This record gives sequence, structure tokens and C-alpha cells, in this order.
Amino acid sequence: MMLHALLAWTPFLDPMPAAGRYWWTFLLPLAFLLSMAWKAVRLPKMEHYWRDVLSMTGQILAAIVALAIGLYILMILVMPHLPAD
Amino acid sequence: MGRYTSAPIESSALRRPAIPLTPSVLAVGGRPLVHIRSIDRPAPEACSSGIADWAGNRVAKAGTDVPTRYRPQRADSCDIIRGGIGPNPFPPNEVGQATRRPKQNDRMATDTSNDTQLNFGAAVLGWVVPGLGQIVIGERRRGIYAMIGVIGLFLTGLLIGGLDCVDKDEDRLWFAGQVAAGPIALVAAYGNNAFLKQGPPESKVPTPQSQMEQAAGAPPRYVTKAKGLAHANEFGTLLCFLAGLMNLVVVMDAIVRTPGVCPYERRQAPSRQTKPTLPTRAPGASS
Repeated sequence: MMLHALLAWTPFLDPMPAAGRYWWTFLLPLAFLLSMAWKAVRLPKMEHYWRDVLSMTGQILAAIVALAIGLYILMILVMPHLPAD
Repeated sequence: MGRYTSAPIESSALRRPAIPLTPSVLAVGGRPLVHIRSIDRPAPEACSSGIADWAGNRVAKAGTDVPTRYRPQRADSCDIIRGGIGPNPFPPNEVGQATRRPKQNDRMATDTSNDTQLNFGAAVLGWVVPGLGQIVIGERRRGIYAMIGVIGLFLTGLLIGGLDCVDKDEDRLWFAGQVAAGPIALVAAYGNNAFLKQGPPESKVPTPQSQMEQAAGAPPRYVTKAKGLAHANEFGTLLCFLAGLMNLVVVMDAIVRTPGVCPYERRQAPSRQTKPTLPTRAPGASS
């Protein structure tokens, strides 16, 4: 099924198959490329460019993971125990 | 009520003439940065009941230190623009230049675009090809990295969401941000319209009709098979939108950037230096 979807996929024209299942993996290129563009214009010197890019990528991912954990706690663990009225 | 009241008290400062307005000029290498008409206010001085400022208001009790905000300020601080209290510690010389060499932080308070060269040509090039603005002004490495970042974001968005994620008709607000990524967004929007929306009939499928449409007997509507839905469309649209926003940052950076100089360093806080101390006088001493 997955193989057939991939064979029928036309990159850049059709939406990526199985994107709904693995959507969270897209956060990695998002954070990395965003960090590349941002650090390219914000760093005073470019000596430690890649180190700063990886650092910012990690910070973005860590923030998203922390947000996910916080929302999970709120929605799954806390909200069901709140009174309905 | 603040700690120090502004109750008028008797002081020799009350008899002081009008505040003189003197132009101050800060210069780098003989080239004036900006002309400021600063107000050279005299420093607070001691009087019978405390320490008064230039207007005769008591700013400190007798025998206490003058508050920091009333001490003479450095010429490069923001207070000098607001008419800071205290004499100009760096008065201009006879040719109108500052008597010291200004430091980089001076530009924070004094650079009012008289000296800043706005490079709009680089901005236009940066919009056409992301990062090209930095490359043409000499920041080649910086421009290439910015180019990879912006174009990479856009192409990743197209890869995930397909051409449908750049839609100038159905997602106008998103497209307004995406078009900041440059002509590549316009090309994608044209491709979406030409290949998907106006494609051959065999590439389209009817959309499910609502009960109201079925009851009204409306003809079915057809959309392309490459229509993006759910996460694919959301992420694709978001990535292309972020590419546009990042290119906006890159373009604005190209406008103000000078090769070899980071335009953002001046936003750092001024380095802490020993402020000139107020000459202390005994309470009640005559001026």
C-alpha cells in the first residue's frame, strides 16, 4: 500500500503520501532550515555558524516537545479530573 | 509618590539663566554621525536644604548621595538626547567635533539614519533570489546560507504539500506571506493554477456533496486529485509561509548591512564604565 502510494507520487506536484502519519518528522527540517536562515543574518561572526544552527535547532525541537508534554498533561491528565460544571 | 519630591527650594540655581542649547557633534574619523542639539544642563549642586537640580528642585537630602539618574550622563547615552541632566562631558571642539573618539555603542543613541546607508538594490535582489542581496554586498557566505535556508524551506514545503500549498485564491493570507519568498512563490502559484486547477478533466474527481447541495440538485464540483488535505497541506503551507517570512528578515538585513559590520551589535547594552562622579560640595556652600 505504502509502496504503491510512493510509486504514484509525483514530487512537488502531489502531496507527500503518508504525511498524516509521519507529520511530526517534518518538524526537523523546519527547525533546521529556519535556524540556518536566521543564524545566517543574526550572527556577528560566522566562525561557529553550524554550532549555533544546531543549537537553535535543538532549542526549537526541545521547546516543541516541552509544549507537547505540557499540553498532554493538561488535556489528558488534568482536564478529565476537572468538574464538569 | 516617589522617593524624591520635586518641591521647589531656594537655590542659586533658581537664578540661573535660561538653559543653553548647544549643538553636539559625534564623529567617526572626522565624518559627522549626527548633529544633536543637546541641552547642557548643569549638574545638581548643594544648597541649604539638600541638593538641587538645574530647575531648583530638590533631588536629594542634605548629606546624601545624588541619585544616579541625576548624575551627569555619558554623551553616548540616550539621556543626552532627552536633554540629560549634567554638563556634556565631551564638549565639541572649535570645529564642532567631539573631543573623544566615539565608540561603537555611540551609534545606538546617535544614529538617526543620517549616516546609515539603506541598500534598497540589495533588497530587491534579495527578494528575487533569497540571499543574493547579502552576496552582492560582499557577504557571500552569509548569503549562501540564507539562500539555502529560505529556498530549502520553500522547496520542503512544496515537497510535502505539493503545488496546492501555494494558492493565491483559496489561501490569500497565507499567500501574502509566501510571496515574500520571491518569484518562486509566484511561479508555484501559477503552476497550481495551470496544472492543478485548470488541468485536464481526467485529473479531477468530484467532491462529496452536502445534503443541501444534493437536495438542491446542484451539479457536483470537481477538484484535482493532487489536492492537499490535512497535515500534508498544513505543513506544506506553513513551510512555504515561513520561507516567505524568513526571506523578509533576510531582505531587511540586506538593506542595512555593511560588509564586515554586524548591524545588530549596536543593540547590545553599553558596556559598564565608571561614570563621572559628581563633584561633592558641602551642604550650604555657595556656588
